[in-house]
Amino acid sequence: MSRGPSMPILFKEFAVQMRGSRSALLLALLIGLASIAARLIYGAIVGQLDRGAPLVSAQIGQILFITLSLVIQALIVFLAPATTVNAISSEHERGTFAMLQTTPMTPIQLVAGKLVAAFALLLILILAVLPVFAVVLLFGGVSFDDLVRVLITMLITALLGSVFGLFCSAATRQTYSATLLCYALLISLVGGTLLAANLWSLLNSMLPAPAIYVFANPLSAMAAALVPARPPDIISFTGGLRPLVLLNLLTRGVIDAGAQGVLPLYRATWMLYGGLSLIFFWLTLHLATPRRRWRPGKVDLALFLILLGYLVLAYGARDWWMAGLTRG
Amino acid sequence: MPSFQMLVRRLLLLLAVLLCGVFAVTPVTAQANLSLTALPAFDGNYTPGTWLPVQLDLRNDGPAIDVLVVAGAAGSSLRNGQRVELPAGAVKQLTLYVALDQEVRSLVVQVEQQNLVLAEAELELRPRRDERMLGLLVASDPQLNLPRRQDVTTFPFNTFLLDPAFFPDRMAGLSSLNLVLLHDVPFANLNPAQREALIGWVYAGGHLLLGGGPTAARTIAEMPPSLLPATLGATRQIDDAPLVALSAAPGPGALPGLQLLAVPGAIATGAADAPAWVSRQVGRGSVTQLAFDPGAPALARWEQAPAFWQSLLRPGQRITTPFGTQSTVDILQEQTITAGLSNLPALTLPPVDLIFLVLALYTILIGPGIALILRQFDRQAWAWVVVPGVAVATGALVVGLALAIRPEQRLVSRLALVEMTEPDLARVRGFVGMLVPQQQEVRLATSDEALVRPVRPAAGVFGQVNGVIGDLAQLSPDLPLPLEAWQIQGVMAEAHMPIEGIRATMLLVDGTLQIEVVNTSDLVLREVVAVFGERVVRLGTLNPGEEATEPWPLDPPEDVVRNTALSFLVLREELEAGQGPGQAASRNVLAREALLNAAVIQNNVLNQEGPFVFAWLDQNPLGMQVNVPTAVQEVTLLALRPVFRGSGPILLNEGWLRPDWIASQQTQCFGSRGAGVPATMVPTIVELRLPNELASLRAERLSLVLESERTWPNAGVITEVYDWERERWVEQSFDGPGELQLENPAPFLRNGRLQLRLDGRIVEAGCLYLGARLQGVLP
Repeated sequence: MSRGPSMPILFKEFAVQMRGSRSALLLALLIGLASIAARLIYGAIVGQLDRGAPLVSAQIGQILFITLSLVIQALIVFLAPATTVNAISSEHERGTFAMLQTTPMTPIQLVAGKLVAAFALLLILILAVLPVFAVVLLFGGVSFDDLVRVLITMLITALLGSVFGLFCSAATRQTYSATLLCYALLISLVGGTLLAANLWSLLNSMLPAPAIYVFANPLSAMAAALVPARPPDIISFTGGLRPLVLLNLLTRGVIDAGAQGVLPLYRATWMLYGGLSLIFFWLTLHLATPRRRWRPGKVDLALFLILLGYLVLAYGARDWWMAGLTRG
Repeated sequence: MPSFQMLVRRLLLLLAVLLCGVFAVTPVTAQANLSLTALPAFDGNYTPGTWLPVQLDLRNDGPAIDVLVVAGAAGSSLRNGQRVELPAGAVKQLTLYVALDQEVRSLVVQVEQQNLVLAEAELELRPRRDERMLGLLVASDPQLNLPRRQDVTTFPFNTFLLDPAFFPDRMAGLSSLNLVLLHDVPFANLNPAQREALIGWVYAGGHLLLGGGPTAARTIAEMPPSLLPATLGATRQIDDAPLVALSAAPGPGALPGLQLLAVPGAIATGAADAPAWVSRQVGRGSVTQLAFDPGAPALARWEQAPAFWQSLLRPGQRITTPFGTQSTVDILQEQTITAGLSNLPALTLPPVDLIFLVLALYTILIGPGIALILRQFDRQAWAWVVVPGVAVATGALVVGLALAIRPEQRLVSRLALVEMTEPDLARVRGFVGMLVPQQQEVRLATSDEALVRPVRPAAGVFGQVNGVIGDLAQLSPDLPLPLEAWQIQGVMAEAHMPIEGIRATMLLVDGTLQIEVVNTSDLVLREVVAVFGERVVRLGTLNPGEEATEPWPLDPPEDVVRNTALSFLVLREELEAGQGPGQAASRNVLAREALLNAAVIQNNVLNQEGPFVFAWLDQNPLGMQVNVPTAVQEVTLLALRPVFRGSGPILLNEGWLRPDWIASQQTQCFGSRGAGVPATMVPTIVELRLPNELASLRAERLSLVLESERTWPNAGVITEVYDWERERWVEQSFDGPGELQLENPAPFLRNGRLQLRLDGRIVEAGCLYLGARLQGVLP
């Protein structure tokens, strides 16, 4: 049977991923937390259904959708690096990395195999959580476009998260250090950008912060992707559950562009995360190379061309994604 | 020249196209067999914001057809219509009621069949805003010497002779009128529907004048006693002093007339044994019964007659509305209830527990469940296939369940106000607000006795409520309503309906008052409550055949400030529960509050004080059901005024004799003890009034309770009370604040009214809180 260049490590990783209890726990954790979040928010809605502003069926669906999406995105942000943060460092720690060097396997086979296996696990997690989203159908109010936008944001966040975890793992060669580095940077990214946006807002008469402050934040990207799914404006939202408040909090108001409508901040995030994934993957390849680590090779040329192609694509589509950064 | 011919051809072609376009827009087909004659009531004069009756004569000399008769202002998106069956050779007469909000000068009436216009008539209209609309229901024109339009500064007169045969048979048909003079036309000659319309119109705020003189007995024969201010006595010469008082000039001399014997609660004007007229309040309106013939030659010749009529012929009340000053609160009530429609019902929630149970099982299965099973067979790697498979299967199951039990997305709010106008007759006004997720047409099933119109736009707490747009068929049990998506749109319907067997009585038994409510109707009266003078008496739910009696509290609760809104008194517990931090009153409570506010609304700042008895009904008597599945909230309020019964000694503590804000022409001030009368630099005159039914009370002990927001000046305040017998102010020795005991109080309280004048340094007292304690005898 013929197998591709990454196949040995990929099959090994696939087998390892499901052998322990980690995957089962991850699945139970993700789906359990999502279901609990859906039930809690539903209970909150029911508790005040006949009080405050009236809610139509679609609005309940939208509130559930927004809550679930944000909860799952938050989980993915922190789970995705966890799937790869020990991928290379554990080989070093177990002393198997030297053994791998004795095999004909190239660094790209090693890194790609680890990455694909981790990303596949994340895909399984996202797929497994979709039945929880089906609760939203009970009330409606969410379009197919909304769902696609949210899924793309989740997937690209998962991709960057797993590549970044791999990068930390390769850079530190110690799982402990890799975890520390990875999560310190993640928390800085998520919390720091929101803090910076809030500070800017405080220093500027509570004006919405420029989009550039929060576009790298995965939660802000998800919040922006969810804004078009907000309830219709015909019914006033003077009381009760106000999902928009949460969305505005996560984006410091940059999504609300007045007459211009909704600011598609998430497009810029998609482009940034795609580019960063390529760069981190490239860097990880070199970090996983045992000797003459920074010497360019054919793979670098290929990756350079891919990155160049990506940049050309980004430039060509600049009007599309830069619309998320500029207020009208 | 070819080019010129080409140009001519093109112009002819263009002309032909334009002509085709014109005919396509107005598809009028000459139908020689069908004739239409239309005549607007009141000679086309109407008050904007009211209904105008249009008398139609249809004659069909062709084959039998079913037609739709519609009328609407030119260019208006709203037309009122009625379906009519016209058999071959039929001649039909009908009245079409047209809701006119705009000030338009022409009305187009069309007879249509399948959007094809068979006949058309254009009527000339005259919108009359802020004018006195006087209908004369008389045998012959009495030639009233009314003030001319150019001689008055406001509210000029417009008079119309009303033909008894075409007198509107619905109260809405009289809504343009402020005043009706009934003279020498027997009330008994009106058909029952016309009588009900007239009574309902008075109850809503109309001012009815009954002519006196030799034909008076014939005029008032069979008139309900609740409408009559007086019974008739012998023929008398009527002193002209009251006429002189109103015209401030020499009078016409004594007029031949009849002696009027005022009924309890009515106010007689003139000599005690032969008053010139007697008035009484009926609901929100009033009836004035003249002792003399309004068309008496002496009166017609009298030079000062215009000044006299100008003073006497006043609308019962002047209500400021978006359509100018009107004599009914209908528009204010409609605004209040329409805004209340935004309190949409809560969704009917589906049984979601099953779905969450499936998800809980799924969580266990997809995580540890599958892992354990596969480990048993040492096939953990199969999880890559099994997990997605289980996820897809569970997803399909949850989607299927969700779609099967999906809740209804249409929301309907139905509010109705049922006001008893006679013991067995009620005016019912129903409002329906609908919110739908997609543009669609629904059908409204309602009483075929009801007139239906779109609600006027109003801003509710939870969104704007707009009227339904399009043609509305009147007097039809089934109405198509086109609805836009995500807009609260509504219609309202009104009708007079018999509701028999509900009585509320304030009984005087052994010197104490009791409230009694008897329900022999087939309706369930829920949470029956009587309210007046900050006192609330709850009588619970009354099923058919039940009655309840409760003693009336002597004193109001201590923690209730003066002039607290009746709706708050009734719904206090529920509203206070919604005022805590993080709390909100339920929308059902807010809808009920809107109905209560509408039931007692007086004008933009004042409410009627009652006494009132309120009860909640299970259903709107007009139906107003929407034909599609919806989440519905239905709130129907029954409002009636209790009658007083009994005689003998009575003790009335604070809250009964209370300031009459309208008679006093006072604004209100608000301080720590609620609403009060603002003290002014000029003498502050306040009239205090008992409820009409207690107007005949003879006071034996009366003490005024005078308090103020700021310190009552210790000197320099002149306190006077008006002596009705001697017709002068009588100064009182009063070292306020506190109780002012009036010695020999009888002359100061007449027809349940007492006038108080405060002068001097009273302005320093700020907001004045005035009340009274009263002991007397009810004859």
